[in-house]
Amino acid sequence: MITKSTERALALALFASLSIAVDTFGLVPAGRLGLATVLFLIFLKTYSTLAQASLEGLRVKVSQEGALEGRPLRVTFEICNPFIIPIAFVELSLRYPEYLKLSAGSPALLGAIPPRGCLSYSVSFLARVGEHEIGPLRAVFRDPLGIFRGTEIELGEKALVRVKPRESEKLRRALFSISRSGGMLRTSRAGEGLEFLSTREYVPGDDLRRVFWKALAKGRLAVKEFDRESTQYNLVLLALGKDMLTGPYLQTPLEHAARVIAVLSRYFAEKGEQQALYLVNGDRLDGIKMVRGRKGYELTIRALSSVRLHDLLNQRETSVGKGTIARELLMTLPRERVNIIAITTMGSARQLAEELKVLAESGRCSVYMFLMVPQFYGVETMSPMERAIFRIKSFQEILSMKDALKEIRKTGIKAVIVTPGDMARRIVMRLEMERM
Amino acid sequence: MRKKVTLVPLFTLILLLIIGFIGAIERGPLTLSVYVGAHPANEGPMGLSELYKMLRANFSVILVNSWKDVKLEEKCRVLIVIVSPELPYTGEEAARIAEAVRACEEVRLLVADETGNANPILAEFGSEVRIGTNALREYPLVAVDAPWGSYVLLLDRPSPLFAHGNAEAIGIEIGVQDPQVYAFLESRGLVWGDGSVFLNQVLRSENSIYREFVRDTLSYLCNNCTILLDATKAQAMNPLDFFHGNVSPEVVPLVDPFSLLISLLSHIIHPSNWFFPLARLVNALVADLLVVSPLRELIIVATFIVLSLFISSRESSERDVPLREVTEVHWYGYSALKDKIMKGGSSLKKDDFVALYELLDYLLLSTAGVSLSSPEAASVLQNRGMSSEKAKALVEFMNKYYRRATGKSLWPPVVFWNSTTRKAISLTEEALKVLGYSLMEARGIEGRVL
Amino acid sequence: MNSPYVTIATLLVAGLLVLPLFSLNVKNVLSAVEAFTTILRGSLEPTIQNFEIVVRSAASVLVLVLLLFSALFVNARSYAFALAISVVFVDSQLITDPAMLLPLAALSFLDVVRSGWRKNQISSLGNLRPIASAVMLSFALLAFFLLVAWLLSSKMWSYAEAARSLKVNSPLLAVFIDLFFRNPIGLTFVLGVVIFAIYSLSKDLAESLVIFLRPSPQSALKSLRELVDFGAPISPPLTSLRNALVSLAISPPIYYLITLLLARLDLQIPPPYDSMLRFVIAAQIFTIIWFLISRLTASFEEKEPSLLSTFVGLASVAIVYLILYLAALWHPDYGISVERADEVLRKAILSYYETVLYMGELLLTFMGIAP
Repeated sequence: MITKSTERALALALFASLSIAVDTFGLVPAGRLGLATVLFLIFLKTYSTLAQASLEGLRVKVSQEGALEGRPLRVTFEICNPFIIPIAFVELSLRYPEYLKLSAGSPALLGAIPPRGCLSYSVSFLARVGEHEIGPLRAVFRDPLGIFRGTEIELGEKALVRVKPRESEKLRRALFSISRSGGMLRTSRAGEGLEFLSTREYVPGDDLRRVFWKALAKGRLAVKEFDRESTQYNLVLLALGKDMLTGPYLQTPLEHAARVIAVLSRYFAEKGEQQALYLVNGDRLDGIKMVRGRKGYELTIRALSSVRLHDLLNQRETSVGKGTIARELLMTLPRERVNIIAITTMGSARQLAEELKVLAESGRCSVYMFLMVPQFYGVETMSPMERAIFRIKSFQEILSMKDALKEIRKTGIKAVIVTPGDMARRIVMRLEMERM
Repeated sequence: MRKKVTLVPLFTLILLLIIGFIGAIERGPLTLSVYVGAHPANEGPMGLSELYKMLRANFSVILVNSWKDVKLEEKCRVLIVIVSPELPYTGEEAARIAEAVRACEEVRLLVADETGNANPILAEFGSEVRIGTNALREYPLVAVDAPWGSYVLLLDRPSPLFAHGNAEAIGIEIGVQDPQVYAFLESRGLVWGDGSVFLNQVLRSENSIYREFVRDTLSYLCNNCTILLDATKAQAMNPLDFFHGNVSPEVVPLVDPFSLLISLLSHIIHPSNWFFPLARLVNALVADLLVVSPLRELIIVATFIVLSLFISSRESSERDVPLREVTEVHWYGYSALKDKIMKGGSSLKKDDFVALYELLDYLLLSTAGVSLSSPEAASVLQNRGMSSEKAKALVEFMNKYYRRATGKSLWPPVVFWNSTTRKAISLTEEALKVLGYSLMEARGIEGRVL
Repeated sequence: MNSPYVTIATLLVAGLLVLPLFSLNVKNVLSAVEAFTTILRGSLEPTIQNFEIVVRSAASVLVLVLLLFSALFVNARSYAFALAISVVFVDSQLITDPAMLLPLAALSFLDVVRSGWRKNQISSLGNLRPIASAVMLSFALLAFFLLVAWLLSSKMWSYAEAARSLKVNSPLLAVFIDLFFRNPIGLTFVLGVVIFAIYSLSKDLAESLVIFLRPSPQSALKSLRELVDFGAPISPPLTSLRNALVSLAISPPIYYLITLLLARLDLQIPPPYDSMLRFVIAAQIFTIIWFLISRLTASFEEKEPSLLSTFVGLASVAIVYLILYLAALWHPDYGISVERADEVLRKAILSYYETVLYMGELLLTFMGIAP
């Protein structure tokens, strides 16, 4: 029973019975018409069953183009019928994540596929950062009269699409203007390193390996000093909570954060600094370890375009806030002092702060927390009165956020509320201050 | 309860029943006869059912409906019992009986007959006794002096017996001038001039002497033998005759009502008896109904609707609905509130006014250290750059309606909270601006508070 | 989202399609109204013909409503009903009128297009040519089906015609023929059964052939999942017979105990009726126990009985037999006698079976199956 009759079948069954009945009751000799209708139904059923069986044998090719945030992401399904019977009609409906916005095309359609021919079905989405599963197609066969309907099947494979964040060139320039110069930096502070700076008198406690032997030959006990390397170790920690997807399309905290991180990463890469990116998604800690230069940038972009929004939406209760994430992170950190830039929303701020506290207390990192308030994203699209009403109604929420912030600050974490526009700038300013 | 999986569907069972039904029709009508005379199936007073039961309880009995069908073993010992045959045996029939028991080692007879119908049998078996054909007396008293006991029995219109040769008269009438012989015992068996002793009405009577007599007689005659109870000469009656009035009135009380009922039931139940009349009736009825105009149309409609349901019942049907499309979801969190406000669907209520009051109160307290309810509120606002009238009006307005909203005052009696709150928002915005906050601008209070 | 243009277009076409039948019925209603006005003026006597007019015009009004519905919702089913009512009550010749038959198929087709066609689907498809050619081809296929069906049905219907004009001499067979071939209801019934059989056979044949030719795992899995409720209890054939046998084993002692009780109560029933009463009692006991056993075994199919309940069940049967045996073991007149108890037990079982089997024999005799 891979095809079933629909309610329309009753129309033909009624007609067939009527023809037979008027004949048997001797009104009109229409019996053969009724019988012909029944036979027609049998043929139609056979055709429908065959077409439904063929539906599964269709060859489906999926292709995609465009994977940059904000641009159209076009996905095309080329459905080919290798058999000699026409498949009419087939209703297709595309499975795609509900958080994606279709920019062109229809999410479903009624089509037909000629024998040894193809049907191409393409849709465009307004791409947003992250990894998305598009497809497969759900397909249902109906005969042209809709008398029989096949069972719903799935056509083709799902396409995995990764969308990169968009980087603002303007912002990148602005960041460089904040830092003191372009390119590599030196701190001119003596310390560990490779480049020779000068010699000085030996003081007890100095490493014997650093004794300047040439000077010792002259009778002076001196040690060599090297230029301390200017490289900063920057670790970006992006905590993904459900409210990361709050807000208008392409204007959610996640997307803002991704853009900022992308620009920051390029900035770090061009300055030759070490960078790492960790994503906290539920209980999971994914990320890339400290890498320097271009490679770090590439890895960062890849990590950002692999964020699974679906997982984010289906996040369950997390154990973040018990220090496990922090301990896991500490194992991966280099010996050098690391700047931890934690970015999150108010929703997961308190829990993340607990983790950050553990990191700060280890003494190996400087921790900064940047908080986004997505609840108020999009108020600019409202009229002044609407804004006022919205603010009055959400004022209690603001106050409770304020309390939360106060609590976080009490733990010693430097937490600031940032808007998407000023986040990158404020992060770089912090880092520059750290360099001093 | 879960759906059961039936391995053999009901349809198959119905089909089997229909086949059986057709078979029953094909076999033709069957009539269970009703017996009024001496037949083992007759439970009535003239029947032999009691005798039959008695025989079955003590001997192996073969009820003979047709002597042709009797099959006996070699060297068998049999006792042929013939009670009041209603029709005379022909010589041929008697010969057939003799043929049936030819193989037996010992054949004995018990003939109890007052009609003389059994005489050909007696002749066939070489008996020297013959039965007279008419009763001389109504109820003669007979003394039986038999080897198995002595009895005095009252007979019911018996026929006297005549014998020559060695037959021993064991039942002789007493108390009359010319006693007749009603029982002879000979080597062939017992000939008894009266069947009534073996009938139900006698065997069921209070007087147990008859029962004893019958029992003892049979025990004597049949010693470890098979009894052949003849039922070939009992006359069967069609049960329908009772309704058609073909039965003489004196027979009616003799009929066992139970047998009659069963016989009638079998007649009624059997399909070959009702199917054809019913079919004729249905045909006639349909033909009649189809003449009546609106009725005919209704019948046609009903017929074709039933037919179409029947035809379409072979298909499992489902409602055809279009495939669901993905419903895109945006604006998670707060989206409901924002949407509601932007659609203008949110009318402001008393609580909103209270919230606004508390907002202003909070901001005033946190920036200027004065509560909105305190008398200095207006002057503080004025100091920050608000005009004095506006500041006073605002403070007064806010406090008046706040008291009303919290139930501390009943004045003004009628308040439209939506318009009142909207007015309060406009007033408050000016005050907030001098404090450095805003409700209405893109960058609002949240930026400063947080 | 459905396309508004396609929706409007299909509605317009649907309106055009139902128009012939609609106008016919409007005419019918109007003429009925005219007839009534003449009756009201008193120039026509109200007769049975007038009653027919009432029925016909009421049918026409119903048809008009159905047609409106079918045009508005592009519903072929309600059109079929409207056509049927028109054919039966207004003019039976309509059933062979192509203009009346076309909407049956066309409305179904329009409904499929209307409900399936999406708002932006053209932009998703780009090229409409493959769809057009596929639809054309499938319509050609349908036309071919129709032709073959028509030719085949002509042949097949001639059998029905032949059956109708069958002449037999046997009076009994004639009744048969009359009932099943001349009587329109009987003939419709026979045709229904025949069509049902043809449809079932060819459908199953076609389905199995297709599945053999082109196995489709997804559909098969889906329909299998619908078809079989895993873990559903299976009721094996002839369960009732099995239950009957079980109840035959349990009934005798109960029957005997009840007859003993009746004897104790000194109920005297004259001879021919006492056997009847025995039958009735035996039948009652048998039926009740059969029913109980059936319910019990049905519950086993849902849930396996526990060891304890099995034991309790068996034990209660044994106890009934034991009671019977013990009751017979001692008698005030004879004292304790094992032989007597054995005899009573044997008699109890035998007398019950005698009664029941006699009943069965009687029933079979009634049906003319046994002599």
